[in-house]
Amino acid sequence: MINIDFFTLFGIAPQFTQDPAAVKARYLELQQKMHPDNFVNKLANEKQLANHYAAIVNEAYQVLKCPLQRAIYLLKINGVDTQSETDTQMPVEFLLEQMEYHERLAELSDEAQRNECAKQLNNAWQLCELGLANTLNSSPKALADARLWVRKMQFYAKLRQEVAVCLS
Amino acid sequence: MSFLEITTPAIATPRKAVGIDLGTTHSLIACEVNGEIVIVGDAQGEALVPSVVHYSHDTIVVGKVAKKLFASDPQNTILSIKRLMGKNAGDIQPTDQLLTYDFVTSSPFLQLKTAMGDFSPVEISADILKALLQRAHTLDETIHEAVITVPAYFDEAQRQATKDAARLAGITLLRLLNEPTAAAIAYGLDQGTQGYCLVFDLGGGTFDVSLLKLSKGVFEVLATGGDTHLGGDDIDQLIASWIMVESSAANTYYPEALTHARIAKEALSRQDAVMVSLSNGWNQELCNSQLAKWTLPLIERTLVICEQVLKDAELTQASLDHVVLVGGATRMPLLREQVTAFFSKELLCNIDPDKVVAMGAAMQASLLAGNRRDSSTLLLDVIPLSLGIEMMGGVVEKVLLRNTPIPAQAKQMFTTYQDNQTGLSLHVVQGERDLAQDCRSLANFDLTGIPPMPAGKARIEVICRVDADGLLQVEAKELSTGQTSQIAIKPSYGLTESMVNQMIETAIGSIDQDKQARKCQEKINEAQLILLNLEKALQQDAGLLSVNTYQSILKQIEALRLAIKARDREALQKIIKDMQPALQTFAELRLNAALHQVVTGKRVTELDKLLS
Repeated sequence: MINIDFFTLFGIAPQFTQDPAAVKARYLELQQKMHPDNFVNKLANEKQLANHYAAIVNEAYQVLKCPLQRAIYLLKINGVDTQSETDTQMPVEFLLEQMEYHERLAELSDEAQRNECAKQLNNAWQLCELGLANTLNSSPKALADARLWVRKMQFYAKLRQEVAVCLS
Repeated sequence: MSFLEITTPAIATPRKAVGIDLGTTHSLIACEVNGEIVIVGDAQGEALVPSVVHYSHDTIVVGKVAKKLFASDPQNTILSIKRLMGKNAGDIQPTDQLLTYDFVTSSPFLQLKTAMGDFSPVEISADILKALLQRAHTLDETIHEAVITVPAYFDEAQRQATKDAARLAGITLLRLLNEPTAAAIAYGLDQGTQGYCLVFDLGGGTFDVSLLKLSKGVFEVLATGGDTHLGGDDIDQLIASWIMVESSAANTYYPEALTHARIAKEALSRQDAVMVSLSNGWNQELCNSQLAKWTLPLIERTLVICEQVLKDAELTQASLDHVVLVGGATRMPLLREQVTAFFSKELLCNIDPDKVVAMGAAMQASLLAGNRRDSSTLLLDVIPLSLGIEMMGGVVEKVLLRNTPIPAQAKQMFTTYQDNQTGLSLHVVQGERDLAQDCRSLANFDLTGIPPMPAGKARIEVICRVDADGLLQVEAKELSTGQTSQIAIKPSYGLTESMVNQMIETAIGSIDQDKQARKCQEKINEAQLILLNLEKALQQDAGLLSVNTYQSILKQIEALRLAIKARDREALQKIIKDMQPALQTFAELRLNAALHQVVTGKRVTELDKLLS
C-alpha cells in the first residue's frame, strides 16, 4: 500500500506554495497510470489495488489543490494539529472582527450588501493566504505562526460559506 | 459452444465489446466495427428496442412485439422496469400509475407476478439484456463483454442491481458508465468537443445533468445532479390521466390511453394540435398550449437542478462552452426553447439524442477491451450522492461528499460503548439529508470478533471504498490488536449475493452433470486468464521480483497448467488460492513501479526508500 505523504506521491516539494497547473498535470499523469480502467484486462489483484491507489491519488489531489487543505495537511505531516475546535488562543482583535462579521451577516438585507461583504471576506482570505505563504516560504520552521494563519483561514472559510447561503 | 474453442487462449487478440444503453422506455446496443460505431438494429434495421418484456406461460418476448401486447395483456407486460431497479417492496408508491402489474406481497424483495412466475426487477432487466446481446451476436457470436450505462444520479443500490442483471444475463461487465458521461465521450471522441460541457439528459424515466471538463482525451466530471423519477414518461402519464378524465372511460382503458398519450406527445413536437381517440369511440383535440401547461413545471424542475450543478462546480452559465442535449424527451420544442433561454447558448444535438449514450458506451467498451491503443482517454467521474454512516440519535455523519471523484475512500474511527463489547452494528446511507431516515439506506454491517476490552478502548477503523463504477465496499479493522473484524453485509435493498448466485444456478439448467462441467469450465477460464496476464506481467516486470518469489511463481504456473490439462476443478481452486500472496506482492511491486515512473526524475531515491 501507499504509505508516503501526498507531496512525495505527487513528486512535488513539501511546501505551501504550489503551481496549480503543475499539480493538476501530475494528477492527470498519475491517474493515466492508476485509474482502474487501465486494469480491466489485468490480474484481479492489480485491478483491486489500482482502485485503492487511484482513490488515494484522488484524495491527495483534493487536498493539494486547495490552499487551506494543503496548509492543514502540510502542518499535520510536520506534527502540528490545526483541527481542534476548542482553540481559544486567537488574538482578541481577530475575534472582535469575527463578531462584527457575524452581526453584519445577520443584518444583510440585499444582494449589494451581500456582495460587498463577500468581497471583503475574499480579501481577508487572500491576505491570510499570502501571510501563510510568506511565513512558510521565508521560515519553514515557524510552524506556530503558520498555524495561526491556518486557524484564521478556517474562521474565514466558515464565514464565506455563510455569506454564500445567507440570502437564499 | 465446444470446450476446445475456449481452451485456445483467443483472449490475447483484440475482441469486440459492446456498449449498452439500458433505458427506461427503450434500450440500444452498439459496437465498434472496423473503426466505426454502429448501432446494432433488428432485422428491419430498427435501432431502438422498447424496454418491454412480456411473459406468457412458456415464452419471454422482449421489445417491439412485447410492447404491442401491452394494451391487451398489461398484467404480463412489464414496462419501465428500470424505475424499480434497486428498490424494495416498501418503496412502491400507490401513485405510480404507470405500474399496472401485480406485486408479490409476501416478500420484502420486490417481485412482480407474471404468467410465467414471480420475477425481480433484476431478472426482468436481465431478459432485456439477453435480447440485446442476441442482436450483437449477429455481428460476432463470441461477444460477451459490455459497458452498460446507468443514470449518473443512480444510487449504489440501483447500480448494484444493474450489475447483478448483467451477471444474470451472462455478460462480463467491463464497467458501469454514467449516461451523461457516455454522451460526453461520444461528442469528445467523435466530434472533438472541448472545454466546459454541460450534458442535459432527459430520458423516458430519468433526468441527469453532468458538468464535465473535456480536454485532450480527459473527461473530468466536475459535478452531477438529477432526479431518477423525472422524464418523458411523466408527461405521457399526465396526458393519459387527462384522457381518462375527459373520456370518463373505465380504468381498463388506461393502458390504451397511455399508448395514445405517447403518440400524441410525439405528434405535438411537429404540429400545434392533434386528435386523441380511444377505441370506445371517444375523441378530442389536444393542443400545444395545453401540453405546455403540463410540461413547464417539469422543465422548471430540470432547470433548478442545472442551477445547483453549476453552483456545485463553482461555474456560471457564461463559463460553459457547450450544452449537449441527450435523451428522446429533449426533442420537445418547448423544452429546447426554455433550455436555450436559460443557458443563452446554442444547444448541441448533432448526434441523435436517442443514440448518443449507446455510442459513447461502445467507444468506451472498445477502449477497455484494448482495441484503441493509440488513445489515452481518461475518465474521471464522481459520486452523485453523499455517503454517510448513521450515528447516535439517527444523525448522519457524511464520510464522502457528493461530487467526490471516484474511486474514493474514506476512513472513520469507531469505538465500543460497553465493557467487553465484541460486536458493533453500522448503517451506511446515501443522500444529502441530515437524518438517516431521510436518506437511502444502503447496507447494515455487523462487525463481530472485536477482542473484549473496556468501553471506549477499542479503535475500530471502518473504510468505505467506492470503485470507479460507483459501487461500495466496506472494510473494518480493530487497530489496537490489528485484528480484522468479520463483516456481515446485509444490503438494505435489492438482492443478496447468494440470491443472485441461486438465480444463476437455476438459469444454467437442471441437469447436474451440465452444472459440474460448466463450473469446471469457469475455473479453467479463470486460470487461463491468470496465466495469460501473469505471463505478460512477468515478461515486463520479472526483474521486480526476488529470486525466491520468481521461482515459486514459476512453479505455481506449471502446476496451474497441469491442472488445466487434467480439468481438475478442485486442484485449480487450490492453486489459485495458494497463488494469491505471490500475486498480491507482484501486483504491489508493479503498481509501485508504475507510480515511480510517473515521478521519475523527481527525487527518485527518496521514493525508492519509501516505496520499498
